Parts: sequence; structure tokens; C-alpha cells
Amino acid sequence: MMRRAGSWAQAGVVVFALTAVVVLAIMLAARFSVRADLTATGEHRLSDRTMRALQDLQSGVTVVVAAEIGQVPRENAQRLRDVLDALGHASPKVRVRLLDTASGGGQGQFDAVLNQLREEDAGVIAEHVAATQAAVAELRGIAGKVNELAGGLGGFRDRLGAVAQAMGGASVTEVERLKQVWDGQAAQLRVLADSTEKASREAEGLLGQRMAAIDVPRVDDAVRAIRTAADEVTLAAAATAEAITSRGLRLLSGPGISQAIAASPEMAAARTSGGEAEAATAAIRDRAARLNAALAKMGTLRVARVASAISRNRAALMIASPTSEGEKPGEAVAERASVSAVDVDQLLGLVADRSGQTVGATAVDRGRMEDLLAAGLAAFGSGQRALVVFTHAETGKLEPAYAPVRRLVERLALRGIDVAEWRVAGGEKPAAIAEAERSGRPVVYVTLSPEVRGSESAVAMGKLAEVIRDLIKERKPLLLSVNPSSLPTTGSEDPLTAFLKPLGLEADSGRVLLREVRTAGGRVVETELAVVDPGTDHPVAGAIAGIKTRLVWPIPLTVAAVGEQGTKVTPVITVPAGPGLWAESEWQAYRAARGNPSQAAPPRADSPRDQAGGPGPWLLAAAVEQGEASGRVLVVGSNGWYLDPIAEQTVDVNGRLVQDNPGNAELFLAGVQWLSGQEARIASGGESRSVARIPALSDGQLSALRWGLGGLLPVLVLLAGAAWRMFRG
Amino acid sequence: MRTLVIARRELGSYFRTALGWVLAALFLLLSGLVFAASSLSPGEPASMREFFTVWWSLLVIVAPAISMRLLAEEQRTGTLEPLLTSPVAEVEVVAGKLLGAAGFLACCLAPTLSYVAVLAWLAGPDLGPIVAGYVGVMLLGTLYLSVGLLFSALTASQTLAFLATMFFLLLSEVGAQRAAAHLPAPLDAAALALSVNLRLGDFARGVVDSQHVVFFLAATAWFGGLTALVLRTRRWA
Repeated sequence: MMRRAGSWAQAGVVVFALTAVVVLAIMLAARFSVRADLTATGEHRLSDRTMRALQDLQSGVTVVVAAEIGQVPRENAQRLRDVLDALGHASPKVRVRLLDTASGGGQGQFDAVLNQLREEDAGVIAEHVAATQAAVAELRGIAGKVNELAGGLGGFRDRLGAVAQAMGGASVTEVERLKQVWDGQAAQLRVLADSTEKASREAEGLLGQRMAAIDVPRVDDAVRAIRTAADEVTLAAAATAEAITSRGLRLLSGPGISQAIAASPEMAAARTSGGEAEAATAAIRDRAARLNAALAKMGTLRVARVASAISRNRAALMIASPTSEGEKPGEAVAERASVSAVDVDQLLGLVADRSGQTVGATAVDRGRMEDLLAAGLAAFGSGQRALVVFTHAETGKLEPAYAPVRRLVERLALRGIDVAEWRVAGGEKPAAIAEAERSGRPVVYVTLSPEVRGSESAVAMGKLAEVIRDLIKERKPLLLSVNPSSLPTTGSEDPLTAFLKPLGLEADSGRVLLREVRTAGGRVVETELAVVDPGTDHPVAGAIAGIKTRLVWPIPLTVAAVGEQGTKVTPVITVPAGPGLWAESEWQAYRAARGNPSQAAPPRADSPRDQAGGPGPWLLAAAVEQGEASGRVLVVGSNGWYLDPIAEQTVDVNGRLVQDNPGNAELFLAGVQWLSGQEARIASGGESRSVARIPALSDGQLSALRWGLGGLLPVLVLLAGAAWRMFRG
Repeated sequence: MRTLVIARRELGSYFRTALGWVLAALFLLLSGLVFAASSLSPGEPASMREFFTVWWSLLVIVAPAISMRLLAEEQRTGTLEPLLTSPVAEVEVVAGKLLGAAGFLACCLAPTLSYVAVLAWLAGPDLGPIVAGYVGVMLLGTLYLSVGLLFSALTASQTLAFLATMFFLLLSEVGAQRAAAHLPAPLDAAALALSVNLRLGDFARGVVDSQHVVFFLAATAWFGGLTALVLRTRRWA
């Protein structure tokens, strides 16, 4: 009995020891695993660039791809799994999750990811909500002050009435006119107060609503509404203060006012009233500007970026851990990229209709998938976040809504790139530039060339040209878009291209590339080019290889014979010579009739100037490097190509909503990344790897193979067995 | 040496009975149908990836069928007693039986190389993933055979051994994946680590990971060790 018990105890010990050894072996093997890729093409090896991006990660990153996997072509799904698996194995910092949202479990897991995000950021969200509520109150206070100011201007106007009575004669007319002006100003301020009050109510309402997909207040939309209103108040208050000074106080102490009247108590009261109004206006202006600046510093919530990406792009999300070593929670999210995203439709080759439902799919190369994901992961690297400064000579402001480039700005944000605006015509250089330069962040200037319509815009153009010249001289990274200009036609030099010569480039902005097409309806002349093959091996070109990039009113560039010593010009986009493609010098009339081209006869290549430079090939974008120390410039021979109406244009193809020019946004992103010295973040089109495929077979051949393999082999085995038993017994 | 003798005897026994040939034919029939459906579609990549991935489900049926008789038959016919009283260690018996069964599985797999020949004739596939796939299937098959050997040691009924093994294999795989879907991190990863299907998936796409090889060998050794222990308890009885 004792012996048996001892044996069983010994067996227990053996089982325990055996289990421990096996578990230990498996754990050690998992920790120190070696993977061998036996594929001939190295299908499961990540590129050096991806490996660098992974090694550079500053915190843990969760890659969440949520899609209806059943809608994804089998090959694409398989490739995505392979790439995600390779990423997960290559770095302990990367955690990958592929969720099938068509299944209840997958949707639940996706919701759990969003819940986790919300919980992690609960503190920051509460801070933002509180700050926004305070901002709403402040805006309401400003609205009240604006209303008071309108009343104050009324008092000022009434005092002017008393002044007019005291003055008599011609001055009465002058003062009466002033009264009308102040009536108008007061009315405008009352309208402004009303709209500001409305904006505060709208912001409050937005705070009460929740973001789609994530149950969090719409803080960012509320902030945007407040900033827009505060910005309007700042501008209006500045204009009012200027008017009070120039059209009120100055007149009341001007040479037309006799000494006797000037010394009258009515005049003194009017001056005091005007001075008070001026001070009140300045206070309002400063208060609104302070509010705007405080909200601008607040940054965007990580969950808001996620919500935006989900609702607009059906994105594959890359979410950084809220903190990495040595960081405090709130600080970390604000200082570096917290969320990055890749359009899941691009990643999986899905095609969606207007309602966002998947209606089709195309094959996506594995290299492209890897590059897209690696570019998203690169946003969490140690490289400083770039700042893009939209530099323009327009009178209107882009901030805070960035209306013509809103989608682009969102894309930039998802790649960890911030934006600022520099209005060279009316504003000072933004403080964000100096701050970024102080902290060593790359600052990339992006120009938006104006169309010259009048003397005012000619002055603005001159200012912009001056700024660009200085930027080039200071070797600042610059993305320059060239607009067609009528100046070269009249023999004048285009100031917005004149500074290119020292860089070794020339832009013939007096001629635009036109393409003649013969259709059933007759001869058509197109004013834009769709580039699918950029024709060069520049890293920026790699990003747009194989996808359509639309360049409107393209301007041909030429590499100048002599540039400054040390400058290197590399072609980025070239278009081969082709029939019906020429550089037209008399394009203005055709452009003027753009709204109704039938009114203008399509131009022909009929002048010697049209033939200048030969038949091509045509250089449409070039990269310039000024020596070894930074100083990169990317010149694109087209203007407005990155604006939302072109870059985000969609077309309806058989009920499918397809992005028409995906290359435009990619060109911009890749251009910014190259200019900021972050080539590793450029997602290239990826080289296609050839895959051996089963050739087309007739039904007979296919049936023969299937029956042969499925039926004949087992029969042969059975016959062999029968033979064996017959001969061997 | 004694292990090899037992293995050779075991392997030969499969060919001496009609059951072995029928089993091989059945395995090839199922394999052929799966191959024709998954890997022989015009326009699709010439690869056996899908095929290898599906093979897991074939092994869940075939491996228990091969292993059910290994020790259960010896118990039923009463030949286990003489075997255990002979100067052969339990570990040698288990290793020999397992090697013999794995040899038979390899013999069943050998005719499927004709599938590779057909693919090569049609399109010239990448042979790396195919080699890796066969390595994975053999490792998985051997693990399943070791599970079957344990159940075969626990009962004298071949039918019971077959059913118990098959249900155990099914439940462990489905259970691991289900548990992973519902468990929070890092428990989900631990549950997924038990899924042999996912590991086979790596082999099928041409990746040979040392941790998978160690997992299969270690798990096989564990089940083999338990079987040896079961045999030892028979001596105590």
C-alpha cells in the first residue's frame, strides 16, 4: 500500500517536472525565437525602412485594423495578415489587432478599443471640456462687451450731435456724416455681438453632443466654433479701434475745428467718450485674441482624431500608448503624435459607395500595404513633428477652419504634422514658427501663389515674392507651386519665378502645357494633366507611382544651365513628349472663358513661342538641394493642386464613390516629409512582386486534374494495397 | 536501437492490415478534394497555403484513426503485458510506437507530392512555403499522434480512443480560439499560443519559426511522457 502511494507520488512529481520543463522550453523559445522566411521573394521580410521606423518607435503602438473581412479579397486579407504579423514579430512595441467588424465579437472588440482610449484619456477629456466651457463663458462675456461698446458708440454719436450744433456751418455736414458712420459702426457691432452670442450658444450645444463612434463631447467642434467667433471679434474690434482713431478722434482735434469749439465742453465730452470707446475696443480685441490663442494651444484630443479618422476614412488606426517612459500623461499626448491612421480602403483595396458601404475591391500589393502601415508608424518616431506653414498673399485667413485645405490638414495631423498660416500681405510672421524653430522642429513653408487681378493683388504678389526670396536665401524648406502668369507674355519677369534661376531651375509661367484630344464631339483642348507614372526615381515620385495625380494648368520647368554652386536639381515628375502636347503662350483668353470654354476657341500650337523648347519631355516637378546643409526646395509646376476641391475630388463610377486624384494628397505629404528630411516616412507605391498563378484551363482540363488527384490517387493506393497483400500475404 | 525495431514493426503492421491501406486511401481522397477546391483555381496564386491551413482539420480525423490502435490493440489482444515485462523501457515503447505512426503518416503524405508536381507543371510555384508547409504538417501530425497514443494507452477500445482523441483535439483548438476572443490582454495571447492552427498557418505561408518547432516538439514530448507514465502505472498494477 505504502509502496503504491510512493509510486503515485513519484508519478506526480514526474508529471509536474515534465510539465515545468515543457512550459519553460516553450516560453524560452517564444522569447528567443528565430524566424526563417523560406519564400523565394522574401515575402515576409520587412524592408529596411520599415525596420528603421519600428526601431525608432518612442512608445508602444497598437495597430487596429477594423474591417469587414468577408468583403476583402482573400489575397488582400492574407497579405494584410502577413504584414501585421511581421510587424508584430519585428518589434515588441507593436501590438496588432485585425478585427472583423462583421462579426459580433469583432465589433465588440473594436468598441472595447475605443472604450479603452476614452478611459485612458478621461482626465485630458475632462480638462478640455472644462476649458471649453470656460471659453464659452468668456465668449459670452466678450459678446456682452461688444454690445456695450455698440451702446458706447451710440453715446459718442449723440455727443457728436451736440458738437455739430455748437459748430454750425460746413462742419455740421462733416459731423453729420460722422454721426452716420458711427450709427453704422454701432449697428455692425450689435450684429457682431449677436453672432458672437449665437456662436457661444452653438459651442455650448456642441459640448452637449457626442462624437460619432466615440461617446465623448464634441469638444473640438465647439473649440472651432469659439475660435472662429473670437477671430471675427478680433478683426472687427481692430477695425473699429482704427476707425475711432482715424475717423473720430483725429477729426475732432483736426485743423478744421476752430479753437473756440475745440475748447467747448461738448467737444471735450465727445473726445472723452471717443477715448473710452477706443479703450473698450482695444480691450475687447485683446480679450478675443487671448481666448483664441489659449484655445489654439489646447491641441486636439486623441479621441477626437480617432473619431475623425473613423468617420471620414474608415481608417486603420495606430494608437500610441498614452505615455512612454519618463512622460506625464497629459504632456505626452500633447507633445508627440498620439494617433495616426491609414485609410483602410487604400490598405485593403476596398471601394465604397456614397453611404460608405463596401461595393468592390481591387488587389493591393504587399509592399504597398507595408509602406502604408510603416508610414503611419513613423509618426510615433523620435523625429520632430514637422510644422507646415501655408504662406500666401490672400487677404482672407485660412485659420482656424482651413476651409480650402481642411481635409489635407486632417491628413497632415494624422501623420503627426502641425500647420500654421502666414499671411504675408496682412499678418505678422506667426509665433508658432519661431517656437518650432527654437525647439528644433522642421518648418516647411508651402506657398499658395495668388492670381494677379488688380493692383492690390499685384502688391501682395510682390510681398510674397519677397518672402519667398528670403526663405530661399535662408535655405528654409519650401514647397513652391507655380501659377501661370501673363507677365512673361508682356515681356516682364514673373516675380514669383524669378528667384528660381540661382537654384538651377526655370519656370516658364507664361506658357501652360495643353493637351489636344480628338473626341466624337470634335477637337478638345485639356488644361490639366493626369500623371500616373512620374517617370523618375526620386523618393517623392515613389509615393505617387501608380496612382493618379492631377496637375491643373501645368507649367513646364527647365533645368537652368547655371545654378548656384552646390545646388543639385533632381526631376520628380516628368511627362514624356506626346502627340498633341505643347506649351501654349496664348492661354489667357481660354482661361478667362473657363466657366464656358465653348465661348473661347481652343488654342493651337501655332506660334514660334509655342514651339520653343521642343516637343518634350516636360519637367513638371523638381527637387532642389542647396548644398549639404538642408535648404531643400520642391517646385511643382501647377498651382492649387493640393487644395481640397482637387486633391479630395471624388467621382461616381457605376454607383461607387472613388477618390479621383489620390496622388495629389500623397504628393503633398511626401513632399513635406522630404523637405523636412524625413524620407523614411514617405510611403512608396511599393514594388509589385510577381506571383505565379494557375493559368486559364478548359473545363475538361480542370475536371481531369480534379478527378485525377481526388479520385485516381486513392484508387491507386487501394490497388497497391491489394497487390501488396497478394504478393506478401 | 530497440526504439527503431519497435518503430519498424509498427510501420509494417499498418501495411499488413487492410485498415492501413484504406486509411491512406481515405486520407488521399479527402486531401485531393481539398486540394482541388482550394488550390486549383485558374487565376489564383499557385500555392498550397490554403491547402495546408485546411489540412489541420483532416489531421483531426486522420491522426486519431492512425493512433487509435497503437496501444489499445495491444491491450485488447493481451500483448501489452509481455511487451512491458520485456527488457524495454516504457519511453522506448512510446517513442517506437510514435515513430512508426509518424512514418505511416509520412507515407500517407508522400503521394500528395503529386499535387506539388501538378502545380509546378502548371505555374512554377514558390517551393519554399511548400517545403515549410510539409514540415509544419509533419510536426502537427506527430503532435496529434502523440495525443492519440496517450488516449490509446488509456483504453482497450480503439473506438473510444479514436473518439476521445478527436474530441480532445477539436475542443482544444476551438477552445483556444474562443477563449482568446473573449479574454483580456495578455491572457488572450496566452490562449492563442495554444492554437496549433495558427502555428501551422505560419508554416503554410513559408515562415519557419523556431518557437513553433519547439512548441510542437515539446508538446509531443509531454504527451509522450504522459503515455510512458501511464504504461509505468500498468506495471504497478
